[in-house]
Amino acid sequence: MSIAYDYHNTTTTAAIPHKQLLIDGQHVESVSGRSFKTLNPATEEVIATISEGNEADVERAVSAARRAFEGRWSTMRAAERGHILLKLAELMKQHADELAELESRDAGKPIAAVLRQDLPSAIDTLTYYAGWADKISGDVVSTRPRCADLHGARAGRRGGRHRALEFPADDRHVETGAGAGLRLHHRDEAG
Amino acid sequence: MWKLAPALACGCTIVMKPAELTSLSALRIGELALEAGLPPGVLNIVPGPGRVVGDALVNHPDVDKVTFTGSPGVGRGILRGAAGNFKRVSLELGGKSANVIFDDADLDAATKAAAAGIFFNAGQVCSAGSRVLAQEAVYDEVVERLTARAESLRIGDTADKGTALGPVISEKQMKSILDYVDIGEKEGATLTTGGRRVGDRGYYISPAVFANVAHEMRISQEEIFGPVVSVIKFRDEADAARIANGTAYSLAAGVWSRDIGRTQRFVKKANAGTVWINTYGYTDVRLPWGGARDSGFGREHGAQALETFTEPKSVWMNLNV
Repeated sequence: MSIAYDYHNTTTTAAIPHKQLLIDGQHVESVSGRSFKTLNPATEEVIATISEGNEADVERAVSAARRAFEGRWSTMRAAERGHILLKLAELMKQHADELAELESRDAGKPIAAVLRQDLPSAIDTLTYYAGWADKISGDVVSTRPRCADLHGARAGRRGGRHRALEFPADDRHVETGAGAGLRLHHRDEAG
Repeated sequence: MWKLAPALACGCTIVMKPAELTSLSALRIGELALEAGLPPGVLNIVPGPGRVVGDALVNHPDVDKVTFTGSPGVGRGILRGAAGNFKRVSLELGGKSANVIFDDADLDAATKAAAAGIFFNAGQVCSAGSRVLAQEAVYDEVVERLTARAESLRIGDTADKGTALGPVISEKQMKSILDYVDIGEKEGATLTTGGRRVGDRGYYISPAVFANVAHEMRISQEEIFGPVVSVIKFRDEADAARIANGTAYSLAAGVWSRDIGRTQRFVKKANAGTVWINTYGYTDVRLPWGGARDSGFGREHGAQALETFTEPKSVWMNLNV
């Protein structure tokens, strides 16, 4: 669902957009039903009302995050996670003018600064980390003979629990799905 | 994005509480993220007051990690709350960064950059160069040049591309900053320009320069988070380092000099997570970012950030099976 912003109409008779929480892929009202107003600091006008969350909404959100962590986000290929982040960066570029104007009004930042600095920096950050998605891996450390010792990274989250990492014994290269690549190299085999 | 991007790249899922005063961009990006194919529940956004939504997140037993940017006071509360289940915590807090100008600096470049370093975004930047340290011989000229730069900044409608200085974020912040200007004047510093509300609509404050600021003054020690710079005199390298390092913060510092040795000696002594030499203010996602003490701990950016969003697991595998 996208909300159209009427950037050119700043009179108080204009309909003020209402924004909701984002939980589990849905735009929802807060459990309490309360909202707060947000102002443009340059004009002191109300530019939106926003649904106001509380502990109950945090509970819903954390549960949703847990389910997502143990679901598709964990099992998809790391590279696909990177692709999604790149797609988001692309969408931000396409919507650059809209995002810049929104940030400028919401935070009272001069638009030139947002276009020159804030927005490109955000897109660059996203693009940079998108590239890391499939390059997070661990090490094989030599300790005892006939033993592969792996030090891998496991994705943590705001709300995570342990995920089991499995590797078929006869595969030389194993990459797990979620944020933790473990590459198992046998010492007597070439790279 | 500094937090979202690495967390997502690592495969984490997120509950985000955006700053109450500026939630709209975050919510719009949440919409775009769904369009980009981010599965439901990977990024959740719950706007609301820090003391309710933030506390709920910090205290939640099923949240593994919290990362926060904001004031040291709130940061302290987060550390306490995180103790419940030993959450991993990253904190990016405040700053009172020193921009140090030696007498052999290119004064034109130094004062232009120093002015940008404090007045960009009306001083609402954690790494704002809110103290300018000027060596004795060039002190008066630095004050004059900073004052002139401040007065040349175009204050206006933020939708106008020619506007250089916008308002501060809220009425509460505006009052706090104006209070600090008052404190500075009462402490005996000299306000050479600015420091007053501009107009009666919008939270605009004219950019302020304080001269004759003593190191111990509150306007030299406390983060104002507004367009107010304190200019402090120093004698020599040792004095500059002592003053630059003499606050509770250690986020960033700048040093201006044409003497390579001098700049390197300063870099070595500076308690700062980032030091700029003959420039100020640049950040890049590829370079670590962060501080210590009241500036927080941990580093954002680069590969460092990945470590803060993943949990290592050591595995032994018997091949003799």
